[in-house]
Amino acid sequence: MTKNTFVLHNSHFLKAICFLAFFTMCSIGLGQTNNSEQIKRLQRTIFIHNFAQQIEWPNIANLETFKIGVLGPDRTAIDLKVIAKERKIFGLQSEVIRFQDIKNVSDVQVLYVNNLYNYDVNFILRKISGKEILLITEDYDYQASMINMVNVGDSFEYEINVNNIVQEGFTIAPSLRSHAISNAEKWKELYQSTSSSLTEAELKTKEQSKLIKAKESKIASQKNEISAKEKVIISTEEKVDLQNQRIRTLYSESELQQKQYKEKVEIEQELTESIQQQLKFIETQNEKIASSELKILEQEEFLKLQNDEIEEKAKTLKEKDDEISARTKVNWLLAALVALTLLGSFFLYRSYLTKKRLTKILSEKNESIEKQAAILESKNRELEQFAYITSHDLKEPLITISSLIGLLEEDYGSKFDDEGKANLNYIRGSADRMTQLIDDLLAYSRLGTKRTFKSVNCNTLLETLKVDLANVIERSATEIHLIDLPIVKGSEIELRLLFQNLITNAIKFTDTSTKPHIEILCTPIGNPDTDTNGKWEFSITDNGIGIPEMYQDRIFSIFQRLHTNEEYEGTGIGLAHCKKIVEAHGGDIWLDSVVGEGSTFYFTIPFVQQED
Amino acid sequence: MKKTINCVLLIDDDPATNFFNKTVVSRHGHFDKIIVVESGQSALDFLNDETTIKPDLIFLDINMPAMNGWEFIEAFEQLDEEVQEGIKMVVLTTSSNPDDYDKSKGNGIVDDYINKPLSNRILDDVLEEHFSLNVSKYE
Repeated sequence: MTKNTFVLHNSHFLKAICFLAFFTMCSIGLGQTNNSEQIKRLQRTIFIHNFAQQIEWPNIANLETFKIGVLGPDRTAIDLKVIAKERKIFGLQSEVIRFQDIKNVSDVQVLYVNNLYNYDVNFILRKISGKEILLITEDYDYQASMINMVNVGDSFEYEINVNNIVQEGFTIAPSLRSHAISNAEKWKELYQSTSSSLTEAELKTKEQSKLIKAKESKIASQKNEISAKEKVIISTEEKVDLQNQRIRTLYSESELQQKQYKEKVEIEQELTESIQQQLKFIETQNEKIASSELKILEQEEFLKLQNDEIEEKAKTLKEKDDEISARTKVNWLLAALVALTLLGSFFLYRSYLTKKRLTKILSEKNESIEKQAAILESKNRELEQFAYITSHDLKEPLITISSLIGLLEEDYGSKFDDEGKANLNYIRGSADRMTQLIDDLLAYSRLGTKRTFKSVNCNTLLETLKVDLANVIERSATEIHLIDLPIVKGSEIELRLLFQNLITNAIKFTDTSTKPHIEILCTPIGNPDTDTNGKWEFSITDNGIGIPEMYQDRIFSIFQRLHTNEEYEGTGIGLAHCKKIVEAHGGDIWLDSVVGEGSTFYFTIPFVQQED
Repeated sequence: MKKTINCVLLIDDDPATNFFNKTVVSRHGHFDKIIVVESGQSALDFLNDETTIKPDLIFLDINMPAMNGWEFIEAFEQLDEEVQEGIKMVVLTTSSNPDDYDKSKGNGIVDDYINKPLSNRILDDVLEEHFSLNVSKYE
């Protein structure tokens, strides 16, 4: 039980100690944080004041107060106001002005900006440029600032941008410049060394505070009994004391920091020296590099020259290549051209051969045709000659027969009986008919033997023909109607015979009960003035007996008669004459006929005549 | 008094024609003497014979064998002018060939061109034309 109680009591005690220890630790931690932050705020204001002190202000004499601007909702403004009560800058009371907007910043000597508030430092620098304001930034890039403060552990370091400061017309005290840090590497080293010394100091502080705590706990436990009574009296005073104590502690700690700072400066100086040595070494290295660069440049130039030369050569090579390829192309083209030409000439030669062969065949055919035509011509002529001579020779004895029959009639006619007289009449009639046939044959074969073409006025030709045929026309009461006929090229005698035959035929082959009516018309086919291939088409229409269609193609043959001599007189040579005349003039003759209604004979005479 | 022509020479190769022509001429009654030859050569021989009578008129056939009418005329031209003088040359032919007609017209020897058959009327015309004898008026 007791043991249990003890245990219980013991466990309570342990719990209390643990809780106390935890609480103490926490309160110490809290106290430390609060303390170092307060120190830093103080430090910051001191830094700012010190910066201001180390700048040569060009018109400081004209100022009534030294104005420090703070951008943003920064507590530094409050801190600066606090310190302003105790410290002066160049003997001037400092005045703190808070700005929310960079645009409003003016009429201040120093402007402080913390990166916490996200102002663009470049923009700020641009805005305050020319206003004689010293820009102090915190945690910015010093390149864009004038003086930049950097948080290093529990303290600050700063960087200065001399160019920016000088540009504003400020002169910097050398101390400021020499204490400034301008290398990130250095910052790191510095931070490490300072933080190690800081940890040492902290460790010492912790040990001390441990001792103090141990003592305090003793004192506390001793005092605990007494203090309970005094608590009410002391409580207010204690608070004041505690406050004062804190301030004092702050001051003593600040002094400690100052000490540490001095150490840092010394380290910095050493570092700077070594850096300068390094710089010198770098400089000599740079010089060496520069000289080697020069050599490199020379080499490069030489290389460049060589390259140029190579390029030049490559260019020439390319040109030659191009030339060669062009020549190759030309050669190919030439080859293709030659091949084409050869092909073309081969085909041309082949077609030439074919043509030659065909031409030969053609000329042979033509020759044979011409030969045949010549043979035919001579045969025709022979035939005509034969017909002429034969008929002439036939005619002579016939005339004698006729003549002798005449004598016989004259001398013995009265002595013949009726049968004898009739007999004699038949002989005479036959002889006369034969004479007529021979005369016609002679005329036919003589046609065209002597032909001269000249201009023949068909109107006058027909007028004279009408006069010559007046007897027949009057006897048959024929009406001949003709409409303005042309002047044609032809043989007048033959054309006259042509019209005469056609007109007498028309009259002859008309029923005696009908009055013959003949109409003669002519129309040009083509233009008579310009058209050398044109011709005149004549038509002679009658109201005669007509010609059955089956006979129409044979009536133009010589001695072709459709009727007996008793019906219609004639030898059947008239239309043969007509055909021969028309064909001799290079024309055609044909007819349209309806039996019982009449016939129309057509013939054509070309505008132009070809002389034999 | 009946006017007559002294002598007529008939030249034709055809005896039948000659017979007919001689009959017609003799029946006409105005020719005192009728000489008939059957070729051109015979005619030339007759003309050249000084012993024979000189004809006043010749009827000449063209279409004859050996020497035709035109050849005879050429030969006739070569005769003495004395022989040629006073002879009327009449071509008597069956030819209806215009060439012969034209040839006759252009020939200085040929005085006339007559188509057969010969007849009284033709003889009348010839006498009137070439001998100024108006035969029909007499009868």
